[in-house]
Amino acid sequence: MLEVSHVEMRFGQKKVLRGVTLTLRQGVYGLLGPNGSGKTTLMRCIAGVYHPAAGTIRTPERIGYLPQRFGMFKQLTVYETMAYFAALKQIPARAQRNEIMECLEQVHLADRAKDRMGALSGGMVRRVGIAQALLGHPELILADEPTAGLDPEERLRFKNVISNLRGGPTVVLSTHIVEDVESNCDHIVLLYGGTVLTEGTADDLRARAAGKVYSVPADKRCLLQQPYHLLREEAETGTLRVLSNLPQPGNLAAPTVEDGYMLYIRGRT
Amino acid sequence: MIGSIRVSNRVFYRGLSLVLPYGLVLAVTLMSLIRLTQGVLSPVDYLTDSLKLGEFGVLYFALAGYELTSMLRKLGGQECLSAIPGAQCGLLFSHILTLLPLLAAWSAVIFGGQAICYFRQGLDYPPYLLHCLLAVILYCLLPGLDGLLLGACLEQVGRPAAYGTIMLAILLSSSVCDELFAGGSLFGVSPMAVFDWFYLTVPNGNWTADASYGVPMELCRWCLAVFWCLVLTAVLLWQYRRDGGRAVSIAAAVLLAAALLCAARFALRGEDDLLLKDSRPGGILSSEYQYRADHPTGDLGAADFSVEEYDLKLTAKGALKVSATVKLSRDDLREYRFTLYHGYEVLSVTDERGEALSFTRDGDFLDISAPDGAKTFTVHYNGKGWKYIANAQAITLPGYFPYYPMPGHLALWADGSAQSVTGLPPARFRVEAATPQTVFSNLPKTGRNQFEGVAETATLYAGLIDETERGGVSYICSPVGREQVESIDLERTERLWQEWCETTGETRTLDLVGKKVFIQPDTISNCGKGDSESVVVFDDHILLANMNSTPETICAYYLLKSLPSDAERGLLRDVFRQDLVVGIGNWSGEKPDYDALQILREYPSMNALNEIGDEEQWFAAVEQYTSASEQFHTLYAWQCSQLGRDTVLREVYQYLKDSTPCQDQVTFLYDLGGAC
Repeated sequence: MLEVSHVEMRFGQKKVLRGVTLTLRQGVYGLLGPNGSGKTTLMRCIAGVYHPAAGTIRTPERIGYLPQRFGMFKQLTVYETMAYFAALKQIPARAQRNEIMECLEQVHLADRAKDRMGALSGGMVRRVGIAQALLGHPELILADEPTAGLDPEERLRFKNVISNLRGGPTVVLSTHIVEDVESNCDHIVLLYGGTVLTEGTADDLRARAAGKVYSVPADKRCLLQQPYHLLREEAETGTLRVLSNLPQPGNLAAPTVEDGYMLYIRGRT
Repeated sequence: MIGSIRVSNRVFYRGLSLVLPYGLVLAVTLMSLIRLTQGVLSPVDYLTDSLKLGEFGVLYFALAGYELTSMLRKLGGQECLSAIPGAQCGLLFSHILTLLPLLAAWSAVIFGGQAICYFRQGLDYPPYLLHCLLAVILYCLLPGLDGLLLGACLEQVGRPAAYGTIMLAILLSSSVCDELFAGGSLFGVSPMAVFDWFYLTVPNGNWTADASYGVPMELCRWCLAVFWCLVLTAVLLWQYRRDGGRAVSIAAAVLLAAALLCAARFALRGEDDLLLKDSRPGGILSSEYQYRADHPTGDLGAADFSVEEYDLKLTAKGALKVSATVKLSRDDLREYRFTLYHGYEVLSVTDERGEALSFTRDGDFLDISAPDGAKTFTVHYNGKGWKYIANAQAITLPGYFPYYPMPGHLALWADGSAQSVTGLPPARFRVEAATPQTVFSNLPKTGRNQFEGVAETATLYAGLIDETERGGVSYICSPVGREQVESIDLERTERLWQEWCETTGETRTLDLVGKKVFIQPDTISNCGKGDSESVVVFDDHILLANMNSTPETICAYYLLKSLPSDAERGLLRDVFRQDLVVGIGNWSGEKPDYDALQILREYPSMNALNEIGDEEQWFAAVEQYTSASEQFHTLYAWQCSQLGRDTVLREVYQYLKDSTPCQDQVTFLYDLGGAC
């Protein structure tokens, strides 16, 4: 279990986290928020990279951490890189080989174990990063923007990796990509301006937007009542997806997680 | 940690970017050593030159330290490690441990060069080999380690800033600042006082090691090198205090405290007798000249008493510290006049009852007041003796130098060079030197570093020196370069002296056989030495300046010692010396024209040309002077051919000895024999 209590963090005069309080139990959590909302800072605080100015963080002993930017010595092979992390995580020598190969299997890199890190693509390096985070059966896995730089196939693989972790450790994925959260996470924590706006399931977010999302024909744009927020123009259907508390011309649409997310963010701005 | 070391080794050895430059550094080092080996260098010159390679080490290991330790940050892997307690700190020190064997190997190559030179020269003096090892540690290994730690400290900094800092450090730690600023002064303070804090590599390019003193390795130099190691390690630990935990913070604090102690010791180096062979105001190359320019010698005079006994208790650690008890021949004087080198500060003077006596210091003079008379004084003093060093590394206290109170007001400086004090009446000396070194003296030995006997003076030497016997004569000199002892033939020297006495009319005797011979260290020979110091003969021992000590040189310098060293007759004195030492020969051609020598009358020495302000005129005058000097040599040779060498030698010697010559040197030589 991860307990974050009234955590504050500042860089110079700028307050980046303002009393963040969270209690995360078993499951996959998505830390969602726009750029600059404090996601990475919070992840780093939890991982122990940063020491918060105030508040407490209680984490399990074994943590797997994938930072936003991951790289390792190009001169090492994939296996050696994993062995290094295994040694750092004090995995017993006799168990190392199996565990390393297991983790590499999960990210489909077992056949590249002997390749040098310098010979891998950016996506593969990212997968090594995921693999190292899985090493040592961590009770808490922190992944900051885990799918950044991955192609669609690799994203799918990552989704499978996360699925396999269900029922095991607490997993926190930090991202600004709503789809990733929607497809991977059981719970969503919405962070904005260094504070937690809300936390709940994807359905909770969708429910928040229920009755407020409209599909308006593009030719009725001039009939839209202020205030409203244009989510997107759907060229294929010739409609506008609009978020509003007021009745709008057109039909009510089924809300998505993104609609709920936008409703919270817009509500703050 | 083992995992980290393994990773670090793989990273280093699998990448050419660090291995190739190391190979290059090693190759340059080896080539330089081979080149030095091929040259005709004495072991001590070889040592000095090879230690200059230390600057390479600082450069390479600083850059390698930076590149290796910052590599992970540049690749973006640092954050991942920072989430694992101790991982970053472990990897950083693994990088350092990876580079350390390479640093040790490179230093070992340099030491290997010394060892090969040592064995090739057939030396059998293990303390010198140990000295070489320590010198390599101080001037190659430790600066390299400092460079490595500096590079690691800059790990978080971008490449331009890191490289800039490293280059600045190289500049400061090398001899460049020394060569640029040593002679300068800013608001009365030498910039070297600041630059010294960064000066880690071997002393400057103009500098030569001394076979007796070796490479300067005084305590404060060790403190400086260790200070930087400790400070940089403490900075490194401090940077990773969060990663390493409380133990790391405590370790950083302890190292910092130790560094401060080293810094304090280094800051107090002004109290030490250091061999500083650069042009700084306080260094041995210029300090004495400046002092003598500012402090003209006072009234000289012999003492109206003599000393019956000296009891000298010396301590030579940072500097010389002496307690000299002097028993006098008479106790009815109110004031006793002594000479004690001005570099020694007299702390107190007490009489036999232990009561303080008043005294005054005026330059080298020490006048002690004893209103009720006193038979015995004890003078407590300490300080530095210019080029006559006395510290934990070496003791070079020749008996002609007043490192203890000598009776009378004596001249220690004349005509721009040091003078030797001789001719003092014999006294009983009891000397006790507290130093871990083995001290050699002209006095009979009574215990470890204890001597007692009746002599004119007490000479004390220690350092990289040893006593060797050849032909029944004891030679005290450095075993490194002992071959010069081979060229000394005392019996032949005595015979030659007899011949020269007959030729020139000199009446002094030169008794050498049966005396101990001390070969002076290069530092004394090369710095402010006048003819007076070249050959100093006492009843029981001789001091020979480190030169090619052939019978001719010994006799020539002994002969010249009695001559006034005024600049007006300097040119003729030089020609005379040259004739004595190597011979000038005859000139059967025409006698040089008197007018061609005119400039020598106008400017009796090359230094006198400095009076000419205009640069163009000065260059013209120098050219003219050089040509005239050659003509002057020719004139001497012509006179030899006309009058015979013996006649010229005799006449010139008498002329040079004359305290009030009525002719200038050019006219004298030209008119010699009445052949105008």
